[in-house]
Amino acid sequence: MDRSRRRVAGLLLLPALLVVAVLAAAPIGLLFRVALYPPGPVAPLAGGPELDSFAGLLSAPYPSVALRTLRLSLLTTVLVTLLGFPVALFLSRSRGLSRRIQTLLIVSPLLMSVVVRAYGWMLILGRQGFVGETLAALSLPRAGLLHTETAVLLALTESFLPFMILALAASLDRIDPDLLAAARGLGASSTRTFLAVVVPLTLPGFLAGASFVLVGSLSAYAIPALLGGAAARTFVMEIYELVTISFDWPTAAAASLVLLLFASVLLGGAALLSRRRSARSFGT
Amino acid sequence: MRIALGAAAAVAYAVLLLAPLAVIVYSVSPGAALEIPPSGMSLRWYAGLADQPRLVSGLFTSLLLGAIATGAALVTGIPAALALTRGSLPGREAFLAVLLSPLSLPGLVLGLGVLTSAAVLANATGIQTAGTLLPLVAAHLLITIPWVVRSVAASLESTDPALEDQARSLGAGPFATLLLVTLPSARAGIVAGAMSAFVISFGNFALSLLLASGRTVTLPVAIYETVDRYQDPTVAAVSTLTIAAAVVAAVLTDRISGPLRARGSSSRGGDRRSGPAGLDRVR
Repeated sequence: MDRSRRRVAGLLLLPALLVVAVLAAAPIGLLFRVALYPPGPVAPLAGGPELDSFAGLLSAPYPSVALRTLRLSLLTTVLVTLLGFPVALFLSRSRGLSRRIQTLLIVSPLLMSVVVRAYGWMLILGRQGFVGETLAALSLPRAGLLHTETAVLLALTESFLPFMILALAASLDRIDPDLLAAARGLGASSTRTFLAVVVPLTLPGFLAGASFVLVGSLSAYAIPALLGGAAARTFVMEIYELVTISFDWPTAAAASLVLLLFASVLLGGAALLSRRRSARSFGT
Repeated sequence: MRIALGAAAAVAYAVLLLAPLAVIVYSVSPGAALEIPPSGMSLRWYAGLADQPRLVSGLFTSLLLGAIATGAALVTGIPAALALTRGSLPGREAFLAVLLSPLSLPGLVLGLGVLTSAAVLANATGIQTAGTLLPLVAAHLLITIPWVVRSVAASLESTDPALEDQARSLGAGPFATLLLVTLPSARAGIVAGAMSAFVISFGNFALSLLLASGRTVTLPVAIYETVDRYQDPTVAAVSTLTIAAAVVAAVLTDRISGPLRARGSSSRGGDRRSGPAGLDRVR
């Protein structure tokens, strides 16, 4: 009985697993092959295999672009955490209609296209946009933030904030109220209860949220391309131009794989850390 | 303390509202230039949509692509969710992680991979997929399956399998049980999953950018190409329509998964979910 049940389950799982294997794993495998061809503009995809495309990533402009991308992503993660934590606390203490409305406010942006939201920020930050026109209407010198790193940072923070709020709120919702009552009963002040009980227990949510935000902002294209442009070139923008402008597919494939590896290490590391942490605190 | 938290939340919610509001306000501006303070309101840019073949064709492409990707995701995702929740499979967590993994891959990289595969396929077999919806469907299927699996599995986990055992002991066959008991009880999860999948496909940009060309340009790609070049409230008008659709989808998801959530959290010791369709489980 159990055995045939497992066999049926395996058959049911097969189509979805095949889709992921054929449509995700195989293309990534192909990128490996493409990366081994000799790089260069309009690369003919012949010769090799060699590692020149990976070596080429060590020369300009890639290291400085990678550093800027990393800096923007880390700053985004920090800002999203600082903004998201109080919101998650407020959300987890809300009930009924207030909670439902807040959930709508948090979830709706996730369902809108990132391009539309980036467009909104362009309209706000441009010299001819809401900020610029308001300054002009007040007879102040016209200014705008469009095509700066600050604009990219602002829009990235807004676009990843909902993920961090939801991740932290999920952790906060799992905290047993009896635990807080116990800490209070043992004489801990409310500040101490918060720092010693609540904050450590949100660590799994923070790790899941932070790794997702970090990887997501490293991989973002629409926001840096529309709001930063030439002033804030990121690693993914370089990959896009390698494919569409210089037709240097081997370098594009190599850069993609480096990004992919980095993202996997980050996500894997966060998952491992979170697991070890929860194993320690519950002694299982 | 509570007031301080409330203030912080209000600031965050205002930030989240800012960008969509800017788009909506610009879409009803009387002229092409943005005016502060606005001199009036006009719906002419909505009427002008008909004269923008690129945006209109993008809208239809995205609707079609979303429908196909969602249908395919339901066909593959519902059986997978059944297997993961009812199959007593070893390594269940690992299978789930594999199915959800495309969500954490950089979209543009995945698009590049699919584009490369399509080129290799064309070289090896002569089957040309460039210019068709096929590469886009393939890529979008990867990010719609996770939403269906997650939502349907959550729904199945919160229903009682004993109900199915009772149906079997009353003489129902496995298929009758599946069709009359199991799937109806997961109805909320199926609808919520389908809706999330459609919305995610409809709004996706990173995956589509490298794969869309000519007639297969999707709406987000068409918007991206237009906003960078022209000051044109018509783009704001079509964007406002998608914003409205997103809000409607969010409200519907909340309506549908509200009862589901209540049931899920009432079972003590169960895995509590706070967001609709398990959105809180970002990974």
